[in-house]
Amino acid sequence: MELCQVIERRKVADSTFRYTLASPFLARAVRPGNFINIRVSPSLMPLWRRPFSVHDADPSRGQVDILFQVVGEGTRILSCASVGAELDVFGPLGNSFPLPPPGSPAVLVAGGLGIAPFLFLSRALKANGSPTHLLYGARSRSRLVELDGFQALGVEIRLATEDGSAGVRGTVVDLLQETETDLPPEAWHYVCGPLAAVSAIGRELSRRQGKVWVSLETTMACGFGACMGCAVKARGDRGYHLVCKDGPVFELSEVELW
Amino acid sequence: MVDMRVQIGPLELRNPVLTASGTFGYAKEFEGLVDFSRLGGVVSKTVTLEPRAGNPPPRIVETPAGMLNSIGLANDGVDRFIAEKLPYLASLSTRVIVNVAGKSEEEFVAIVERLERESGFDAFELNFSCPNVKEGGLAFSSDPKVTERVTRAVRRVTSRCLIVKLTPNVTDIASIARAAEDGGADAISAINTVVGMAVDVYTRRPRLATVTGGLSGPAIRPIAVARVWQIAQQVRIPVIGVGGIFQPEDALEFLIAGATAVQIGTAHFVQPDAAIRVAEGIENYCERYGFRSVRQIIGSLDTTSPDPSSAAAISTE
Repeated sequence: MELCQVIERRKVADSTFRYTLASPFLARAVRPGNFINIRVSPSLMPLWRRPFSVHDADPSRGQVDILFQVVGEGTRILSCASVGAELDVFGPLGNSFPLPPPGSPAVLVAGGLGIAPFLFLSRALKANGSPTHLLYGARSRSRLVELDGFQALGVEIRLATEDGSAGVRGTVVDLLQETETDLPPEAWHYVCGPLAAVSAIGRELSRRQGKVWVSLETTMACGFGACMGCAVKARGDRGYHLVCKDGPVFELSEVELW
Repeated sequence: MVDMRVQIGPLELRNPVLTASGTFGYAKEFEGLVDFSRLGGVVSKTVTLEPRAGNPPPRIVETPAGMLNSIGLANDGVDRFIAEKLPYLASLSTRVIVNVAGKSEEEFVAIVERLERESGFDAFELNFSCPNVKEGGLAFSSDPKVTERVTRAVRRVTSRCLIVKLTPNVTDIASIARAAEDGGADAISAINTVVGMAVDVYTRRPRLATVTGGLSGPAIRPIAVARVWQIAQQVRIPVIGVGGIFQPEDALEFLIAGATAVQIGTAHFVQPDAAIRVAEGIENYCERYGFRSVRQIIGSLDTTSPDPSSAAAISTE
């Protein structure tokens, strides 16, 4: 646990923010896929910390970034923090995305704010020499965020919007079906988004070859395996996994998502 | 230097602050986050004879100043507990209390007998009060006769300190506490979670897969303090106060109301080192107000009509 100062606060879309936090410790310790748990208020409402996947990290400057959308009271309070505010941060927590063999390709599939952990992952994939493709779906053009960052890393981007204002009209699953033939079949796939989206994307990808890693989002009380509240059904007859401790990254075949 | 030691039956604790079952895992989860030697003791997550997968999700809901849970006593069973969890617990330089649950009197006896042969822990806490399992659970602390019978049966098979944890979801908790005392318990823990429920009005579905769950956190603290106060007046054995303690002052309320020790639960999810902060805070309070021993505070509740001038004197200090 440490207090981290907000050193940059950017509104990147309607009710969506990117915060840069000062933490030399976290910047060195985090791996793509990890999350951090922030106590947004010292009061008892809301009671729990809120988990945020690490959007980017820069060890040389001692900074980590989070990307979040206001969805409830916790994120609303967080969105009111100004530059210079100190946040009570606990992390890094959870596991991280495994990387494909050096030089082999990767496909990132993001629904909505599921884009959050992929910028940091793209940085690691670039260092790994992996040609990286991003399939990114959102409600409309105005909700597609951080595209510059991916472009700067040389990621090939394909978009889908539900209203057709950018890219393919439809969801990222439609985009995935459309691009099936021209993406490297042996690529490792990485999926992140709301549970319903991850489930639909996972179902589509389960028919293909290549490893599939999903990053899951659930309600969490503690974030480090103490409360056992964030259970997700394990595939087969193997009980439950904890998203915070066994995940948030799972191989698609480990979890029962549909 | 404040004497922070308290006595729970045959067991002396370094200080009166324990971790509540189900909120501290098997301590390993808190390695590097908590200096265990500064705790009065650690209470393990509930262990059962057979492994339990636990309840389907959603298992938790955040509520005003609290949370509902329905984990369902997920655990790997007593054999794996002994092989994989107990050695670590045994290595800690603090008291270790193993919390156990059974579906029947026979199961309670069987699991205590199984564990009694092992070394590396100091006490049993019987979970007579989990609201989230279909079989048993609550039943053991809803009927004084059953409480007394099962406590007595377990008492016969262990020489360790025996603590019985009670549910608040009964009409007269003090009578249940007396039954546990009569059955041979060394101490009472109170309270377990309060049965609660939350509904998603947009889907008209319950927010927990099991519909109802157990409410914990600061929201239940006044209930817990009242229960502890009621029990402490009716039994001679020590009472361990549990329920929504986040701050040292919260713990002090329980001690003053008659608890000999306290357990920190839900606070661990927000602040993993909450128990240590509470222990430090209790010590500071004793120092500041001239108590040489924390034992001087226990049961010191003054129910004579309040003197407004002295109350003001303390609050403005």
